[in-house]
Amino acid sequence: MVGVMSGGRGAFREQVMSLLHDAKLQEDTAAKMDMMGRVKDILLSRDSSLLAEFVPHILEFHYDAVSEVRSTVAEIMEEIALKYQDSVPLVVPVLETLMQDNIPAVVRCAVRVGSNIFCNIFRQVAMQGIFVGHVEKSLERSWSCATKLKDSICSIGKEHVNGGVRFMTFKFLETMIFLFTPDPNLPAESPLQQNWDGRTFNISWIMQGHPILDTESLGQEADRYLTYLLEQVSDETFVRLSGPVAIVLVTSLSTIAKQRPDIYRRITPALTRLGSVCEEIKGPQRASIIHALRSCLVALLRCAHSVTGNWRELLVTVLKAMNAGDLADAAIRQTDRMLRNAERERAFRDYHLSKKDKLHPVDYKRPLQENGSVPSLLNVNSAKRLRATAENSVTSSQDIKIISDAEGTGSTQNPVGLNVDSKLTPLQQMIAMIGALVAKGERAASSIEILITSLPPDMLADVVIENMKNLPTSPPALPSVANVAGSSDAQANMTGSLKADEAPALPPVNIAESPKSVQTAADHRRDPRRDPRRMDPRRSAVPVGGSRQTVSVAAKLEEPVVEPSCSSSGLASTLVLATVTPVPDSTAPVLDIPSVHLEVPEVREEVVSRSITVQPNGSSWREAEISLDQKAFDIPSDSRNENVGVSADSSGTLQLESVALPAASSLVAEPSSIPGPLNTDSQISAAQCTDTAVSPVSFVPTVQVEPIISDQVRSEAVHTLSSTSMAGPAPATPFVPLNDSQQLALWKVLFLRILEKHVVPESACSSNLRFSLLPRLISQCIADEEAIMILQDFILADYHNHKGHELTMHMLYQLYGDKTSGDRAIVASKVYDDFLIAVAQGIRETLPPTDKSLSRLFSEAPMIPVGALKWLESICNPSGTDVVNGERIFQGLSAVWILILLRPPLRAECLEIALKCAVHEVDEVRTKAIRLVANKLYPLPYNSQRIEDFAMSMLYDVVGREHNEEGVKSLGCEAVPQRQPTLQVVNDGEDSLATADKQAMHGNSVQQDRHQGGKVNLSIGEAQRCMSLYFALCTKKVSLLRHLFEMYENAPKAVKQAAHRNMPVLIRTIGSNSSDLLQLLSDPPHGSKNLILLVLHLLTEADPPSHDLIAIVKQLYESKIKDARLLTPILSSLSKAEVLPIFPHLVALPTEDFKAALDRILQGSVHTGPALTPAEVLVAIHAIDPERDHIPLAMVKDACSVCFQQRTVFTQQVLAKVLNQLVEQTPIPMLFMRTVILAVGTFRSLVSFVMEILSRLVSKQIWKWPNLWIGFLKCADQTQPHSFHVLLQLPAVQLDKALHKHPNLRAPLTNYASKPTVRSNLARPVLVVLGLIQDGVSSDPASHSQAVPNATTTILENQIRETTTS
Amino acid sequence: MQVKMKLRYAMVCSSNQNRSMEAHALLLKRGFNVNSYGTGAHVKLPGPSIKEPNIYKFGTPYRAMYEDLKRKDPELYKRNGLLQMLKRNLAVKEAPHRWQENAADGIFDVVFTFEARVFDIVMEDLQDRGHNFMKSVLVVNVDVKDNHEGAALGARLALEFCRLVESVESWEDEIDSIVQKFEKQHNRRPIYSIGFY
Repeated sequence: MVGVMSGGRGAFREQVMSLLHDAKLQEDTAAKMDMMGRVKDILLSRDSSLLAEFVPHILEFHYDAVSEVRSTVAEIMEEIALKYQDSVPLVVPVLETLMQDNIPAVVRCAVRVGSNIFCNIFRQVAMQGIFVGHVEKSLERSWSCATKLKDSICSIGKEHVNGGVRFMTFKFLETMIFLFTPDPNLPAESPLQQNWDGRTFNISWIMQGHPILDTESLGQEADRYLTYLLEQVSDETFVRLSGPVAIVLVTSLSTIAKQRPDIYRRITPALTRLGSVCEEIKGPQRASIIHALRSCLVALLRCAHSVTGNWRELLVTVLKAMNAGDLADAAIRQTDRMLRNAERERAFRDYHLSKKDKLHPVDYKRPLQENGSVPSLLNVNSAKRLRATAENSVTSSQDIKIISDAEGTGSTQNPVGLNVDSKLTPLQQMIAMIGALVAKGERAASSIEILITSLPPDMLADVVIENMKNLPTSPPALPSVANVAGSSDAQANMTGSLKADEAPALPPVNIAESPKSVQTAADHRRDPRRDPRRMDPRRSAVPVGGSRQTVSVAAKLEEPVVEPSCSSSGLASTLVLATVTPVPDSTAPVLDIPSVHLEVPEVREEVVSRSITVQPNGSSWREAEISLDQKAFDIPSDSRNENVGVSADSSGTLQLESVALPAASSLVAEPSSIPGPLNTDSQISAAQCTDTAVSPVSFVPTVQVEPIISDQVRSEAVHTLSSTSMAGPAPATPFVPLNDSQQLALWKVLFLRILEKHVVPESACSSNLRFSLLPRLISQCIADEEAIMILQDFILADYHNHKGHELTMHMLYQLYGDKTSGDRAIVASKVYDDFLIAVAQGIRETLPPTDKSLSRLFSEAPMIPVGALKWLESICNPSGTDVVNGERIFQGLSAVWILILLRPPLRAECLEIALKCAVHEVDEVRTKAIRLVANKLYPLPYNSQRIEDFAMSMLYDVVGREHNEEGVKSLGCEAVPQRQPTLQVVNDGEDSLATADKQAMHGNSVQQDRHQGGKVNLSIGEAQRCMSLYFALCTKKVSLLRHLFEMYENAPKAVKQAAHRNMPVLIRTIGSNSSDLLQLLSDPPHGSKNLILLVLHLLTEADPPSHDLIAIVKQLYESKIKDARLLTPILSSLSKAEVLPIFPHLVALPTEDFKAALDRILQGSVHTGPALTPAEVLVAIHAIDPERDHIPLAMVKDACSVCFQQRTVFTQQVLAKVLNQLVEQTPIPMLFMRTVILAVGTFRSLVSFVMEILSRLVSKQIWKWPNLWIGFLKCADQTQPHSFHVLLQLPAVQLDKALHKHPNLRAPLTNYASKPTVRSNLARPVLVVLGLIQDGVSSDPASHSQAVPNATTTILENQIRETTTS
Repeated sequence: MQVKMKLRYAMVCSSNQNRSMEAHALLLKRGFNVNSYGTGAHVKLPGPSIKEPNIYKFGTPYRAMYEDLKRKDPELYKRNGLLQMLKRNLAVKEAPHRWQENAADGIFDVVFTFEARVFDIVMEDLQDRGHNFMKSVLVVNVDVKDNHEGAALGARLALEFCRLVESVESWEDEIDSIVQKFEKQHNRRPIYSIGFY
């Protein structure tokens, strides 16, 4: 080991050499592979410097006869290439050879290794370009090898017959598609070098430009791969695929669709079609393929991106057809849940965005647009966003660079001459860029196309509007009608129109085409197709001259050709201000100042010539001039006459605007350092100076877009414009401006045309462009109500399909911008208000109540005017005459909710609306509002205080209504004094209440009227109305409940009723574990006993009372409320020992309450069983001593009766048991005989048992207890003839008395006794008493009767009995 | 002498207790390079009633569960076979492992599941992991019941299937015929899919 260490490189070298040598000679495959592995380890981890020397030796093994060894070579190559990219050029040829191997496993391994190597190199190349700005030579070499490798893999995949190889290549293609297309789930901007994990990558990171990677061609490549994969799922091909290939194919496709929403719509139909195709598959793989497809479809269904919606139905249908309806349903439910959550999140996010957007009305971009509408599927440029950041400027500049490179012009010379260092707005930069590209002529046509397709719609719209000022006011003749008719996609047209070699195509937004006016340009250099303005769909609408302030500045520099109306026009557009922060950037192009100058030639020829002067870097000014024939729009005669109002004459009288395109400008480090508007001369000179001054150091501006007002113009970038000579015919043409009405009419026609196209389903890009264009157009003809009405009707005609929300938002933001920008502020403000309300009203009337559009509209609108709030209130709070539709109200309330959540300034107003609804007369309105207020709004800390105050004031109000004079006084004192200080000084209850009302109600007139009306007979409904919110709040904050308890005593009956009515739900919701509730119960306010009883009852209704509750109740019973009813609810949980002492108190309760208590006692708890058994209950009742326990005897009797009524509980067995026990007691309970009588009356079958009891009583000398004796006789009377033998057991004296007392007994008894069997057993005196024998010595019954009560007669009686029995 | 197996296998059920462990034990005995996992959120074992299952975290040693159940109701858990099962398990490995957290265990060549739901979860999980190595993995499912008999049957089927997979040059090329053979022999149709690491 020491030797190795000291030997260093030499030792390793020798080791490797010997290992390689041995491996070559080794015949055992495993040993050979092991040796190779050791070689690899040494090379990779010990001494990488040996790599270059030994890699070729290892590579030799790829000719080994054993396939495993060949695979191992590939794997070793992978590790080496991943670690040392320099080795890639060495490795790639070997891998390419291995890909031709006969053994599929080796090919698969090579494909896998190649794929990993390619991905690694690709990422390295991309990131080096981003971080370093260039790619090292060696890496570039590796990259070109890796590209070759990639192509090899692709071609192998297409040709190879082996399934395993094919699915590996499918997987590879999937990986390529992921690599080459932007990942919406990753940040669109590259991380800092130190933050990059070395694995994650998003192609968006290099869209801003890369030294060797061309995102566009990569995107096209991905598109090709996708097309190939999709071809494989065509019916006949798919059926023939082997199981693994088919499964990997569908899985790959669905994975792509899931992760690339843009591609979703291409893949989904293809996969759904397979549902039926699968049925045709034969063989063992069938079930697996079907299962895989089903899983993929479910996965597609579960995708949450916005495009999914349209495909849901289809997916569900297909899944159902594949017997996977339940899976589909589950997936839908899951997705819906996710979407709801996402919507919630989005709402919050938008809130923050909208806050920002209020500052940037023009650049308003909704997140949905950003997320969901990436224009073309695989066009990597399409995902590009205009970001107002430093990178943004790089984007612009580098785009051009890429484009110019692509054009083969090379990067050494910058033909475009862009100045990205200047303080230009993004818009100006973009215009300058387009101008510069146009200057390049046909070579740049495709570059322009790329540039334009990649522009965000907002930016494109601004470019269009900006350039419209440069247009002739008269639409020049257009040659092609057919082209327009065939054009369905504005985007395609516009971009297409830029291709110089194509036939002229018109943007679809042309007002019309005039076949008559075909004027071909004489000069090819005036080819209109090269003019970027051709893409401007609103060109014909330009006459009014959008007078942006930027342009005004520019116009000052113009030669006299500038049409005065240009700057004097009253129609101001929103302005974009660029605040420029210079950032050093070594890659920025040199400072060039292109200047585009436009002149309008003779209008009769309808040819516009435009010259663009490019001022390149340095002192040598290169002037590139191109003149373009301008083919603008021509208005057909019919529309001119009928709609537009531009007469045939006027076609020749056109307004000219000539404005230089804002070009590169003088660079000033700090915008604020510009003192004020510069005069023309100084600007020009500044421009010229900065040219040389700045060129050594270039800057990339960080652009922050903000709205500006006119006085901020001075801080705007200063444009230098060099006007050049006119390239067209003499400018002597008279220009006649259109009058206002003509302009308006023109706008309108144009506008209608755009709308028509809007209906046609198109790519997202073009519709986004329309979104941006339409509002700007309307903004131009803002005075015309009709245009707004048309848009409004259009939006509402089919809100969702017409993308009403997006359109409305764009419109609102445009109007909002206009509102703040001065000139048309008043008009715009009114239009804004009306438009918002009208759309909201329309949504409410046309869309289903469950639709969320209304909420979304209100949450995303730039601002909510007072009128709209009023409208909202009116729908939430329908007056009595309106038909109440609960769902509609919910719609309104949802909007209110969203406003409260997302618009803090409106919170108070919206909360008031919700609160008013919460006390609405109509139950349905009220319920919904209360649900909103209590569940959603109350938990929000900023709302809770106000809601609580309101609910309390309503409660105090309703309680106080009948107690204006006396009751309120005290209430007023308690009425949340800490919250409403004015209530503290309360001498006059009415005053205080009125004050509270005024504070809390904010003009709830109904309430106040009633209140001021003095005593009003309060109905329970009214009480309910006012208290519902309070009750709802109590469920959230239990401590509030104390207020009700405090005022309960003095509350009007209706309030009490309402309280009782609400309490069950309330208590159930609160539950018995609430500490606040227990606290309240342990210390209840005075007079709230009934309520406490109710609460206790409710608390114990479902669940057994908790220990805490039992303790509280006991304590309460002992201290404050001496009412046994209090104990009733907890009886079931008490033990026998606890119940018995209080039992007499329970008996003393009114019958109903006793019954309830009895139920509880008998019911008991699950764990301990009943506290007392029925028998014990009866015994306990009998144990009550009315005198001792101070309980009226009648109540004890009632208690007994209550027991007897429950025949199922107090069964005859129970009674027998009880009687048995009682009869043994001494003394016998007072009510014993009564109970016996009742028992036998209730259960006749007890008769024989009772007779036994009676006999025992006889033996106990029952006659000694007069009360019982009476009962005894009564019982005997009632149970005759069964009682005869008992009676005959009586001593003669008592028998005689009994017969006297109940003479009706005598005859039957005598009759009974006279039976020989009976008679023989009877004593003589008895027989005498019965008159069965005459006895001279018979004693006087009267003397006996007198003797009965006396104890002194006992001896005598005993004697008699003895004689009779003997 | 046992032939060295070419591939790495994973047996997966929902709790890594019964079916996957039975198969794990059997395949281990037959010399396979095998591991086992569960895909559920927790390890669930039957309790005194259907509503009172015994729930453990993945990673809780089988021994701890054994002790726990023994303490709770030795009779019941002996009667329903849980104690025996746990005893078997703790002889195979220490604790149940969760499939979704097995990235550190490396790459498997064949994953065998015993329930369609588990199969889907495994596939979904593989897709969510991202494919960094382009390494294909065969995932196979054969439905068996989650009871002791089912587990024993499942283990036998898994063993048979793995033997078939092991017997061919590369499953990538022969999986369809393997499935066909298996179906013929055992009258059960396995579902398979291809995932990627």
